[in-house]
Amino acid sequence: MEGIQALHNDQSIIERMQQGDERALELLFKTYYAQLCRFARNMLKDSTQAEDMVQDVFMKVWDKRGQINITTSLKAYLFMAVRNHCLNALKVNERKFWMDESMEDDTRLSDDDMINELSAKSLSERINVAIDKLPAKCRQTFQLSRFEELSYKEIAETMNVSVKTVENQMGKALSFLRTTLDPYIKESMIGMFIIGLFAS
Amino acid sequence: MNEQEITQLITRVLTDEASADEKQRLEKWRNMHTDNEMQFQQTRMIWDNAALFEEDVDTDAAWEKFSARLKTSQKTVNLRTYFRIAAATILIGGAGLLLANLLMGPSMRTVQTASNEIKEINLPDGSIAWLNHDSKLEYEEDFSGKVRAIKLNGEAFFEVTKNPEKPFVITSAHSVTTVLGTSFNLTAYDSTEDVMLNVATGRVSFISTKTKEEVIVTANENASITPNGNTIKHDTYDINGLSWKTKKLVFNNASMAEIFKVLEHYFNVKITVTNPLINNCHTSATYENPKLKNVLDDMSKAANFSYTQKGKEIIVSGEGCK
Repeated sequence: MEGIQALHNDQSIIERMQQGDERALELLFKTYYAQLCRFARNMLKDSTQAEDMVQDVFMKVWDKRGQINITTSLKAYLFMAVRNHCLNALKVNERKFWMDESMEDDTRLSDDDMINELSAKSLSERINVAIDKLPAKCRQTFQLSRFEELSYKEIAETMNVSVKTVENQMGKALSFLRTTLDPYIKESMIGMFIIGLFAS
Repeated sequence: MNEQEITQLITRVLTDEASADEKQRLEKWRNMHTDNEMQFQQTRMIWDNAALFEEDVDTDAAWEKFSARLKTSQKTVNLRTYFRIAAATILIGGAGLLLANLLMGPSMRTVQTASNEIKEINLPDGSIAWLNHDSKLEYEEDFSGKVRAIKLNGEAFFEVTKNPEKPFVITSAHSVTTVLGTSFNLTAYDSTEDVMLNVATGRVSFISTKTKEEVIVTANENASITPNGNTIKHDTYDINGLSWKTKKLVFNNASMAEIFKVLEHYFNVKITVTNPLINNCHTSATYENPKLKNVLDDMSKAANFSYTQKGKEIIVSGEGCK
């Protein structure tokens, strides 16, 4: 139901833009700009360049507003456009970009550094450290789902993969996070249990 | 169900992708064993506690910048139509040539400041210039040329939007300053004075028009070009170089000679010292939104001098320091 509603709004925004209504563009910009910048920054590791990239994409969307073709949602369309633009900017082909971070190096749990990084932090901070250790593609999938609230279908379109792949990546991400953070989670849960005892 | 299937099912439920049937299946599995329930609670805890630790993006400011860029791009489209009309006219007859020339000459915009004002100018490419007092800035209305051409007489701080294909070029008294995207301060009031460049971020090329000598100035450096074309680079950043914009003055064991120079520039006044020994006195102080009277009162205590003010002229006298 929500999906249909969103699609309906998307269609009316596109129509208004095609009639030359800049306020429709402004609405689109203001709704997604911050999210898209976060996404681009994650790929480029440079916040100024990330903002430039996102602005380029909005410029292109406006220039080519007669040819926008939505398959899933306008949101997925924007994320996909930003991702492609960033990949172009990185001037490496996609495969090489993702290959740079191998699963092996990133997910070694016995790593002393990681244990150090994880100690003496709040649970949220620990989760954040662990997210950073995920392989690039897996991390991006997780972030798009958890923080940018894209559906599996929208993520699939953005990343140019199948919904099945998104599902696999999401499972992999959560299973890795749970195993890595296991001792800390248990600690927090016992804490909550004790509070629960006193409260009741 | 194997481990992978379970994790994927839990994830589907957490991400709201699960169907009613799937939700029921997970419910059943959770009730089968306390370990199962534990695994579900752990995963949910991670999902719920995952939070963003990132700097915020200023969407409103970005939109301002973007809509300026949008206007520029639309103007460029209009200009292209102009060229097409002009080209057609040339074909029709000789008179068209005159018309084409008229149409193709870039239209310039001029912004000027009085002795008591600072203006913020939004340039057509989204760059921003803050123009200090008694200054004049000229720029092409739509930056449609090969470079973003600016003329400056006076002082301005520029925050330049990145565009490697279209350099941002400032010509002034006896210097040419070229950048691709950065922020810096340029002081070029008069052809008899040094042109001074203070770079806050990025890299700037600074060229003397007389000798064609170039210096590259990077972040936290400053350089000057003398009227006869000597380029001098200093590797220390002038801490008060941007005070006119930041409204902040910082003196760190500075001599009165240095302090007076900064005050003259900041308040646009002339300070005359009757006894050169006063220049030897040193002090430290920091001001935000300074008022001339307050600063002078503090300085007169620190360096034990008295002063009189007539309009923009200030005369300082006292015993001074050795």
